[in-house]
Amino acid sequence: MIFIIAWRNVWRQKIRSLVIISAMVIGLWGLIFAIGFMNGFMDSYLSNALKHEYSHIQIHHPNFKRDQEIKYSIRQGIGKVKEIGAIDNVKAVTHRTVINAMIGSAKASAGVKVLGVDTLLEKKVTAFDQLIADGTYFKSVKRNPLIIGEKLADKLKVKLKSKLVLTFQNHEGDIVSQAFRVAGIFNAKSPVLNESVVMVNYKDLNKSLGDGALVSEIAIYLNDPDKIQENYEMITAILPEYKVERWNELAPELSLIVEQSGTNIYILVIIFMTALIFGIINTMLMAVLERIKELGMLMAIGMNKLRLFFMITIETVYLGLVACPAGLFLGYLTINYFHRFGLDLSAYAEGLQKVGYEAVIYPIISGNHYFILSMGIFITTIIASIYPSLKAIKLKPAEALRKI
Amino acid sequence: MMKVIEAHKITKVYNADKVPVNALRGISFSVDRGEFTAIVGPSGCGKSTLLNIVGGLDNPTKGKITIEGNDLSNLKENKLIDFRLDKIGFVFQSYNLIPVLTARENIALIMELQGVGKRARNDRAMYLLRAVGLEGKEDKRPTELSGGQQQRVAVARALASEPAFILADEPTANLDSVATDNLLDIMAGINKEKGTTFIFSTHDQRVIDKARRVIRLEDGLIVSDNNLVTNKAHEDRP
Repeated sequence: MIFIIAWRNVWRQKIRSLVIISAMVIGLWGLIFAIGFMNGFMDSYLSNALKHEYSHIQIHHPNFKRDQEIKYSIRQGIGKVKEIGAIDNVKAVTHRTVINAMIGSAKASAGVKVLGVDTLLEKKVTAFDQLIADGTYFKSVKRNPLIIGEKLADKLKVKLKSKLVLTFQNHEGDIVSQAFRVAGIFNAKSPVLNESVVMVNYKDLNKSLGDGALVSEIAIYLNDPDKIQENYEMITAILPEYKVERWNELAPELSLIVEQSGTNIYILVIIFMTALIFGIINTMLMAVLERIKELGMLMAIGMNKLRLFFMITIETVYLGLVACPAGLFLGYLTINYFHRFGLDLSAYAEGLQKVGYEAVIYPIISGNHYFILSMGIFITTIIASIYPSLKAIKLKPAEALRKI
Repeated sequence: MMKVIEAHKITKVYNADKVPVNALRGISFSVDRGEFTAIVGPSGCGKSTLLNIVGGLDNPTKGKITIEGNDLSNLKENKLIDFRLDKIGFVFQSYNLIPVLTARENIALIMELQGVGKRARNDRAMYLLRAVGLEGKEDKRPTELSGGQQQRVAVARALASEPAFILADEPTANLDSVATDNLLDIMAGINKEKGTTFIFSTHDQRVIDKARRVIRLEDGLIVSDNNLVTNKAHEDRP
């Protein structure tokens, strides 16, 4: 019957209960949306970075990262690409020749990272063909085509078909120069790619470098990123003498941002729950203080303190039990809608794209988050019930019964 | 006759550390099983204080109170609550029913606290409602009942735990004369049939007229104790 009393007590002051329940519903709804939005934002950033820049796994010579010299290459790399491509869950794999070079146009010059790519394999891994904003993906120029980021093109004051000269060290350590023509101008989300990377056909580059089979880097894109550890181990077994790295090792800053995003979500949840605790305490304290005489009577006729404490706690938990499903459901509907149709932030597109985000965000939230929020509400109501419950059990029946 | 209540030199001083108010000044009395006793006296004479102490709701500053041989001062707070549940029935001036429960649920609550099974407590609640003349009102909430009916539910609730005695603090103060007579007849009937001990505090002459023993308090002292059954009267002064 304590459960019945508690439930009916919730509805004794309907307006007051509905106000706090509404506050919980709206708060939870907003929180779910905020978490979904943050997740979507992070997802957009991460998937862009993985899709167009890092992939899931990369392989290098153990010394390559330190010196980035062409002598630190992967032997029989092109053959290994085929072997890795046959591994289950590997969606696409490509090889690259990576060098640092000076790029010069008729009007300006800059230091760049040159990626010599297999144009067919590369677009399967990095989908770079989708980033071409002007021109084509290596097609519009027959000899020595090159694609370049928008920012770098602006800096060098070049346009499609413009001639660019790359100067770099060849296999023997001699400085060589090679002329290329702009086939396409890409607009990547990453400022690093846009401002300091050019792509050429690996065959053209390797010819000048003096080693047609040179491979500095192998990049692998997976179907299911959750199986990365399994694939990592298989790839390490194929190339045990080389350094195989997962995306979070390749880009620790990216990993940190993802982790920080998770932490931010928890901070947001804690702030929300703390505010909620005070709201609930206020409501329940009012409920206790206006029922002092009744609570005194219950103690007088034989309701012990544990039962009284429990009754107030249950009453508080009921507030959460009503609010939580409603808030979760509204949140679920909202997230589902925007996950399907996207949240258009085109008004801020330029700013967002500068830092690697999409203009349309697709909020997403895991079942785990719904569970954490439900438990959070439950724990919050329990915590919020402690003070009013203590207040109730500290009443002296004789004094409480004298209250008007 | 077995003593239900024995009060020995009960003193109660309020605000003992500031301006002391002597609510009770060392009073002693006992109540036998089956008595129908009224404690009367002017406002502020200590009636409610005495009832609170006898009911284990308040502690005396000095003195000892025993209920069926149990010294209340030896009981810890939670034990005292359990003791009240099993041994004492309360009827309050303003009924003090739980507004969110029906008449039947208000009565059954006491038995639930005692651990009585659902069926047994519902059956007894219905029996008690019949005993106080409220058959058919079992699903009414207090707000749907008149004052007299609410007080009858309160009497039924007090009887629910089959207590050693029932303490009723000004039970008719908020009732009209018809409801008062009705309630008194019910309580007197229960007292006669079941031998349930009733102790009232009251100003109401109709209650006093029905009582078989009248203890009169003035300024925290018993000034007279008339037991109409034994026709014995004595004055008690410290």
